[in-house]
Amino acid sequence: MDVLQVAFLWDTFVKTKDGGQMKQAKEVSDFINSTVGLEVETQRINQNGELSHKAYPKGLLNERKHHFIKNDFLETQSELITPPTKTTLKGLKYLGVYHQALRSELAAKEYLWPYSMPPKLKADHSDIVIAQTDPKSYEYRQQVAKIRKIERTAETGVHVNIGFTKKAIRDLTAQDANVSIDELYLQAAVGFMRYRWLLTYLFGATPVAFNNYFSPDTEVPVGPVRSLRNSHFGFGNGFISSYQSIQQYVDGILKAVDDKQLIAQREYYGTVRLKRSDNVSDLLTKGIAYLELRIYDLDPFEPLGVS
Amino acid sequence: MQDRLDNPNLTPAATLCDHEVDGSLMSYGLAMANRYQNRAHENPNPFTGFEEQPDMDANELRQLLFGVMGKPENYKNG
Repeated sequence: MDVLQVAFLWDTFVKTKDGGQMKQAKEVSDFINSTVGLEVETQRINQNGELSHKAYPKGLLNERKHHFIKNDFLETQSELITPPTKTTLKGLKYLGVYHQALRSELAAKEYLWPYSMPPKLKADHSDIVIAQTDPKSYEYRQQVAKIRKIERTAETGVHVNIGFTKKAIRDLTAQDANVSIDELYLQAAVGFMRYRWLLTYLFGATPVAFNNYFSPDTEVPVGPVRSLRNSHFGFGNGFISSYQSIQQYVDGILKAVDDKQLIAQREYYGTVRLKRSDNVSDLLTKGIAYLELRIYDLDPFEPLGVS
Repeated sequence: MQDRLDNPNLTPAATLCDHEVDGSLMSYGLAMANRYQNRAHENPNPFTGFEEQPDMDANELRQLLFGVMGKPENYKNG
C-alpha cells in the first residue's frame, strides 16, 4: 500500500464531492500534505508459519507503557503506531525504526508474518491467545472472541489516520468564514466509502487464507479474491453507520451498541472512522479531528507492510 | 497506480497468486518473512535521519522504544 497514493486519493475524494466552489480551492490540493499517522499491525510467527509461542519481546519497553509498539488484540500481534507527521516519508522513517526495534528483539527463529491473513492456525484455535493488556480491553476482547469468530481476530492490517494540517484549516477558514471543516471531513469519508471497492481492487492483498482459518462448517470462497480481510469472510461485524452527518454517524453507532449489534463503540469497524476521542459522542461537541482509514491490507512485497 | 487500473494482473492480489505453490502462499510468505528479517539485521544504523530532528532526536526515540537506559549496542548490531 502506497501511502502517498492514499494522500492522492484523499485529495481526489474531497474534490469530487458536491462540485462546490471549495473543491476548486488551491488549499484543497494542499491536503496532499495532510498530517498522516500510521498504525501497522503485524503478527509474530515461528519458522513453520505458525503463531509464535514466545512472550512479548523483553528488550522493548513494557508494551503497556509503550508509545509506539503495543500489543494489539492478540499476544502475538504488535501494533506499530507512528506519530502524526506532515510528510509520509517521515512517517515511514518512524515505521522503519519501529520495525527494526521489534525485529531486533524477536526470539531466535521468530519472524514477522508479511500477510494480513493469519498464518497456519491449530484446528481448535487454542494457539490464538488474547492479549492481556488493561483489564477493560481484555474483557472487551474476550467478548469479541466469544461472540465473533476468534480466528478472525488474528487478521492484521494498516490503518491510516489522516487529517488537515493546521495551515490547511487556517487557509480554508480565512478564505471562507462559513466553511465547515467537519463537512470537508464528511465529504472525504463519503468519498472513501463510495470508492472502497476501488481501494480494495488497488490495494487488496489477501487473496487466500491459510490452514484452519475457515472452520469445517463455515462457507468458504470458491477461489482467490482481492481481499478476504475486507470481505464478509474477514474480520468485522457487518455494521456500517451513516456518513450523511456527524449526528447520524454517532446516532447509528450508539443505537447499534444499544441493539447489541456492536459489543461496544470501539467495535465499529467501518472502512472509515470519524475520530476525535474514544467516546464517539465527542464528535458532536468537538468536531472531527481526523479520519481513520481501515481498509488497507499489509503489502507483503514491502518489508514495512506499506510503501 | 495507473498500471494497476489498466491491467488487473498487476494488482497486489493477482501478483501474489503468481507466487502460489500447490495452491498456497505459505512458502512465499515464509521466504519474505525470512528475507525481511535478514535485511533488518543488516541495517547498521536504523536511526539515520533522526540525529537532529526538531520533534524527536535519535536518543529520545531510542529511549521511548527500549526504556530509560536505551539499548544502543544490541540495537545497532541488530
